[in-house]
Formats: sequence, C-alpha cells, structure tokens
Amino acid sequence: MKPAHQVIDTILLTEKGTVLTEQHNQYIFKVYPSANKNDIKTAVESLFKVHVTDVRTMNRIGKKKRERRPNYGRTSAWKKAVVTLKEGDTIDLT
Amino acid sequence: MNIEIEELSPCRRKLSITVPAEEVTQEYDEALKSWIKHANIPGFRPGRAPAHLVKARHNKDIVERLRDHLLPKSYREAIDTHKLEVVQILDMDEEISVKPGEDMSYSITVDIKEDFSLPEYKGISLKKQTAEVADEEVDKQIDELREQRATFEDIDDRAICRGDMAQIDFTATLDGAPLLEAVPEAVGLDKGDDFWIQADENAFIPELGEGLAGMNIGDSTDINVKFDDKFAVEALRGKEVDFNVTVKNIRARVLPEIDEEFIKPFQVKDADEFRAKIRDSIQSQKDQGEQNRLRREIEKFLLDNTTLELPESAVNEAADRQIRRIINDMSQQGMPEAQIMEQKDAIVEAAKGSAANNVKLRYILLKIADAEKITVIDADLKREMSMMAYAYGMKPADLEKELGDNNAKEEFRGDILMRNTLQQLFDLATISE
Repeated sequence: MKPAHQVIDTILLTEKGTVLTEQHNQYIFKVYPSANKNDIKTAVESLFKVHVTDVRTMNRIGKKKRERRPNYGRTSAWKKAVVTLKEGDTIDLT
Repeated sequence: MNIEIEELSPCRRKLSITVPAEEVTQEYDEALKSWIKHANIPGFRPGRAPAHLVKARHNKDIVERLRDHLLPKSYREAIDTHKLEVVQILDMDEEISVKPGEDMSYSITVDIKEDFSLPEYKGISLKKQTAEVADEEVDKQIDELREQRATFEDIDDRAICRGDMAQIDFTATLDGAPLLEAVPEAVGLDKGDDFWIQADENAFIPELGEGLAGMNIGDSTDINVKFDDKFAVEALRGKEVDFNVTVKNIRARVLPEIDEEFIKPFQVKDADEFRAKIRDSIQSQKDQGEQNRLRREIEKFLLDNTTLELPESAVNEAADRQIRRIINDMSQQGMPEAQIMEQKDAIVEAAKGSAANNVKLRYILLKIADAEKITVIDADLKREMSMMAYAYGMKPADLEKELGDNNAKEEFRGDILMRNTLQQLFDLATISE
C-alpha cells in the first residue's frame, strides 16, 4: 500500500466541490495518476480519520497550450477523485 | 458604546471610547458579507466562495475596512452625544486592535470650542468723530499735486536754491589724494563731468546736494562730506571726503499754475470745482477711515466683553498662517530672505499676539452670525472669489479648484460671514455724534 503523500496531491476547493460537500458529503481531491481507488480510500481514511463509502476517479487530460508560434504543448495530465464519506463524517477544510 | 471624557485643559479633552464586542462582531459580519460579494477566489465564481474561505484569505483586509468604518462612526457618535464642537484632532492611538468578539477601545485627544455667552451686541453705543476737511488740507493736497507735475527751467539770474537741479563737474579727494586711489571701491564717486544733481537732501550724497545752495553759475568751491554709517559703499563709511565742485548750469523747479490745462485730467470745469473735488476726495477718505475706526471699536467691544477660553491649536494655527502671510508679503515686496530671517522673532511675536484676538473675534462673530441667522449666499461667495482671483491674476475657476482642494473654501466663507456680521452689528449700533 502506498503512503498517503504519494496518493493525494491536494484537496480541491472549488465551487462545485463545496456544493457536493453540502449536498452529498463528497470531497474532491487531486490525486496522482498512478493511484487507484483502493489507494485513495485508505489514504483518505488514514489521513482524516473518516470512513469512505465510495471513490470515483477521472483522468483529466492536460490542457493544450500554445507558444507564440503554433507550437503546441500540453500541461500535465492529472487525476481527480470524488470521495464520498459515511454519513456524519466530515473533513474540516478551514 | 462607552465614552469617557477627561478634561486636560479648558479647551482640551481626551476621549476614551470603547465599542462593545457585540457591535464589533456585528459590524465584522456585515463587512465580511459585503466582501464575499466581490471576493475573487480561484475555483469559484465571484461572490460564490464560502465565508470561511474568504475569511481565511482576506481577513486582514476585512479588519482594516472594519476599522476604517468603526473609528469615524464611533468618534462621530461620541462627539454627537456629548455635543462637543471639535476644532482639531491632536492625537490618536496609533495601534488600535480590532478583532471580532472583542471590545475595540481607543483614546483620542481633541481641542474643542467652548460654549460661551455673547455680550449684548445689539445697539453697541459708538461715538462718531466728525471729520471736517480744513482749507489747509485742501491746499496741501493741491500743492502735492503741483509738485508731482513740476517742470524744470534753465535760469542764470540767481544762485542755487534748495530743490533746484544743478549741473556740476566734481573731483573727490581723500586726505589730499584722489579718492579712487585711496578707496578703489568708490568708482563713479571720484569725479564727474556735467553731472545733474538735486540741490537738497534728496541728492545721491545728501551733504553734497545741500552744500550747493547759494552758488552761482561758474562758481567753484570745496565741499567736505562725511559719509555716515548707512552709506551704500561700505569702504567709505565714516570717511571724510573733499569734493571740488564747479557749477555749470542751474535749473529751477517750476510749479504749474492751476489753470485749465492743469485741471483737465480731473474732468472739472473751473478752479472752484477742482477745489471742491479735492475736498470731496479728502472727505470720503476721512469718512472711510472713520467707518473703519468704528468697526474696530465694535471689534474691541466684543473682545473686551466676552470671556472665552481659546483652543491652543486653533491659536497656533492662526499664528502660523499669519507668519506665512507676513513673510509672503515681505518677499513679494522684494525683501531679501536674509533680512526676513533677521526679523523672524519680531514677526513671530507680532503674529502670536494678534492670532489669539483674531481667533476669539472669529468665534464671537460666527456665533452672532448663527444667532442672527446671517448666511453667505453662494452668489456672494462666487463674486468675492472672482475678485480675489483677479487680484492674484488667476482665473476664478482655478482659484476655486485650489481653495476646494485645500478645504479653504469654508474658511473663506467664514471670512465673508464675519464681514457681513460686522456690517450688521454696525447697522444695529447706536451711533452718537
């Protein structure tokens, strides 16, 4: 099992994320692309001392960026995880 | 809100103001709410970020805004509830801590305008001094006018009298040696040919001018001149110089007769009318002087019959202003800076003496204006400002802008108000002959 710091990059604080937290007790994390759902579940549980009921992940492809000439490159690809907690558990984001 | 007032001097108060915690919290929440509406936080559209995030990022700014809002509010409330008329804020705590959930307390030192009672200002009794114009005064005035238009005529039938112009050749010697050798600085004073000089104390060397009286054309004589301590050429001060003078020409001062040509510029018909006109102008000058004197009497009455403690800061400020004005006037008259600095102490002393009375008078007159409901209408203010602008050679709009920037417009309005009030008092006064 990977240690937590090799799984979770950061918590994403976004408008959409706050709505998910309020309505479904879900939190959004930016995770390393190599992490799988089990890694994420264990990492979140051990870091925040909560119970995870569901993890959904999605790979975000890096954005296409252009230099001054049409010389295309991409920003890094990353992985996003939506973690649902057991009812009553919370993560303090302040 | 809790306000404590400590009396430091008759016109100085220290206010200790405490805003209770609940009020601070309430104001903080409102400040936060208004901040959230515009907060730009990544991941959120403007205005959609949750309060705790905004707080985490912008707490410092919010608290600053809260302080900027709470301080004037509480201060105004304090002076309103205690009816203090603040002249100037002198001192204020520099670090004032504002935290939601805690009391905010600070102290502030102010100079205030004390409430005072006015003397009975209606019907101040004044004694008018009637100013008659004597015939001698008219004569004197006419003589002065003639002097101003005097002409000079060549004469050769008499000796030089005082006031004549004389054309002379002169050479100067100091202890027998030519002056220029003894005193190299005295260039131009050592000799002169065909030099015109006035034969009285107005000459460039007064004693030389006076010494010429009684000489005829072709006469030559030695005149001994002792230069005094104020003579322009420093090296010559206190020295005795012999001037050998030869008179070549004499011109007598001829005063014009009062004839048609003389009175033409005055737009009068004949000599009698001219005299009457001169008399009128002297009379109106005297009347104006008398009016001014009576106004000063009113001012004196008000000052003498009112007891009033003056705030120190206002007096100091007035004195400063006065000093600046005096110095400004002096330098505009072309007085060198060194000379002004020499007189500095005298200026400061004079300004301080009059500043206290000026401030007192201002307070009294403004209070009377308030009681009598005298106001300055904007049209008057505009007119006065335009006049002042023209006096300074500025455009009225520019001056207005400058006054507005310096908050001096209100001061200016006060000046006009004072003048109007004084006029009102003058109209109300009982004047006896």
